[in-house]
Amino acid sequence: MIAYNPDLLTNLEILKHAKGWKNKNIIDDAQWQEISARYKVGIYHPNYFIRLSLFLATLTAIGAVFGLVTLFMSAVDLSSDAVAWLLLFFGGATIVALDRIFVKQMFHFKSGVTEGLLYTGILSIVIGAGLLSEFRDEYFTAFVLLAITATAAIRYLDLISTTLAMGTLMWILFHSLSEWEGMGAQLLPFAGMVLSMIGWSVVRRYKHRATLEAEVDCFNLSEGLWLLTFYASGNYLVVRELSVALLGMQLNTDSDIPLAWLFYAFTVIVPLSFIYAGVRLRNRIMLWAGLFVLGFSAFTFKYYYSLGHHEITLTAGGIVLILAAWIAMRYLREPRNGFTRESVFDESLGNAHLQAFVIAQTLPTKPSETPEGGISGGGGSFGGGGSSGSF
Amino acid sequence: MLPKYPSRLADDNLITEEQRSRLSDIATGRVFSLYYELRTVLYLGILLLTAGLGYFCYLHISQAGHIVIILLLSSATVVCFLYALRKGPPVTLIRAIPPTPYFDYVVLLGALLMVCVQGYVQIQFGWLSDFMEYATLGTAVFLFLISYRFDHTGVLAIAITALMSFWSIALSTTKWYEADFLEVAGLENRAIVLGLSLAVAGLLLHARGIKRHFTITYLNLASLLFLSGAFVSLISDEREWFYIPLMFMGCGGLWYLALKLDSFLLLFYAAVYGYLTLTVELSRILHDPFLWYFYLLASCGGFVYFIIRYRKSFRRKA
Repeated sequence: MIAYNPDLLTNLEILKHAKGWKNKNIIDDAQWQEISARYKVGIYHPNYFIRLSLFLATLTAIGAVFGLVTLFMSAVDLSSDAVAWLLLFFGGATIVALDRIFVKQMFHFKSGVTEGLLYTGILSIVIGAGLLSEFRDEYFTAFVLLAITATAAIRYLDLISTTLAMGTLMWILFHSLSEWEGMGAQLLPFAGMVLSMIGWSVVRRYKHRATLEAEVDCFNLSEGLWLLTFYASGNYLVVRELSVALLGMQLNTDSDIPLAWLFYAFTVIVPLSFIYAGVRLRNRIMLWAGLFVLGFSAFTFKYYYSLGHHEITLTAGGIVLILAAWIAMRYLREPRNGFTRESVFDESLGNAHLQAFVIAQTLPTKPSETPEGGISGGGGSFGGGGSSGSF
Repeated sequence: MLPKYPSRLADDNLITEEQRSRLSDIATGRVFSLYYELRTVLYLGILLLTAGLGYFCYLHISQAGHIVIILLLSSATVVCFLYALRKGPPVTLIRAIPPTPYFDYVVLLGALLMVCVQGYVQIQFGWLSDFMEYATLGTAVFLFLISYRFDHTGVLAIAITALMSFWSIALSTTKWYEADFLEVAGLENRAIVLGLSLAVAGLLLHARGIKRHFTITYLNLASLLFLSGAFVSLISDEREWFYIPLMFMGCGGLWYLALKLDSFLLLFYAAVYGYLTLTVELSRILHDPFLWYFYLLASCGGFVYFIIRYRKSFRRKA
């Protein structure tokens, strides 16, 4: 299904990693030479700066062609349908050029040229299709957008197309439910949660079958986005503000949205369970999503129950974060169950050491060393501050 | 990393069995590093804490209990630096390895708290008019010492910033009442001079082999200071015969240094400011839209050439 040559892409991915290992001294120079001789790069995949400049150059070139065509066309009086068909043709031609020439013959992979052609193609096809329906039916345009971005995400493994496809899907759900008289809008949070859960489990299932890292990247991105939409569907602030906006609910200090307790609980529980499950299941995406939405939960409560002392909130939040990180770092002084506070490529985690702690897991843990006096300084600074406050 | 990649390399005898087991432990998540997560949380905590404390001081500046607040903050500062002194790496002229994972953060916290205390004391006790500049200078000197003793580039950047504010304060508080155009222009000239001296200082230290990993911090701030000062002068001042050569000499020197030190950032500054200068000067003499069109086309071509020509530097630093 993907447009790229899977063997060449595998070579590229292996080489990328091998280079990283060489830089971290995990493999030596001779090994790196051998690996790079065996896995030849047959794909054009430049770094970010060149990608960006090629992207801009591609857009400029397409713009020049487009401008020239527009100049000629402006002499003739075209109907809106004719313009729509022209746009569809233009978009189709762009994508064919991308697929047949740049990907199949020149072996471009996320080179900046590919993105430039892809986005121009998507944009002109969607605008063309919308123009054809005279933008009367927004669902038609949305479904065209969904179909084309989903195809682009699968075929070209493009991350922005993945995000767009998911966003369009959520938009369709949101709009169709909020237009439904009566129950629709009240079902929105639950529909959002259900859709996110389905989406998440579908992504998880297909991620295991992925054979390329570029595919895994796409799956990881949408996995994270589904977690975020799941949280947003039940977050108190989001639900409350949307109830006001969509249902015209009048809320004052005495009244609250229906099932407020449920959404409060959701706002508290979801971030904590993301973080817990992320660590437990060794799922970094969930862990990051949990840390991120924990901040948003704090903001949610602050927004409605602020005591007006931001300086105390900031200071207390800072102390909590420092203490949490400090305790976790102390706890992980020695790697435990494979968890480590060092970078995975850290020299102290060299092979011998690693073997040792994987074995040590099965042994009863040794009693922890008594903390040295100096180390408590980091956390104790506030205790010290408190005592001097009683002067 | 896909777990199959290390296995595949091991099957091809390209890596040893030991390397394979280490790498596949990483790939499968058997080894799960919380390195970035813990550091991010710690850093966010320090930022929130110092922001909160600074805001607290700002709000309660005129209320009772100054002594308490000052004692509180300064004891926290002292604790941070005592910890750093006790745990600190031995003095060395090269890059030192932090003794504990949170060492750098404790030093940073101490430095930020100290800036907080200093600001509070100054504003509270009204040393504003006379001593402010010297207090800022003192802070800067102290932070320079800290950054060298504990090998901390972040604190070095704060120290340089404090030094910069010492210069502008010296201008704005003592000379504001006679502020005419020339004095304002003096601010830019100060930036140029300070930028140059910082660069020279950084390069001298580099040449003596003292903390060579600090050089790029010096040059980064120095070149920003110099180039923006010279560029503002170029636009506002009428003595173009002086500022145009100055600007181009600065960019040229920076370009040379960037290639020598292999720094993409400096190369980028030099290219951007050089291009801006050229464009500004052309806009004063060139009025034909047709020529301008060609100039823009040539700029695009030049940009692509620049990227391709120096892509090695890009790759290394990107």
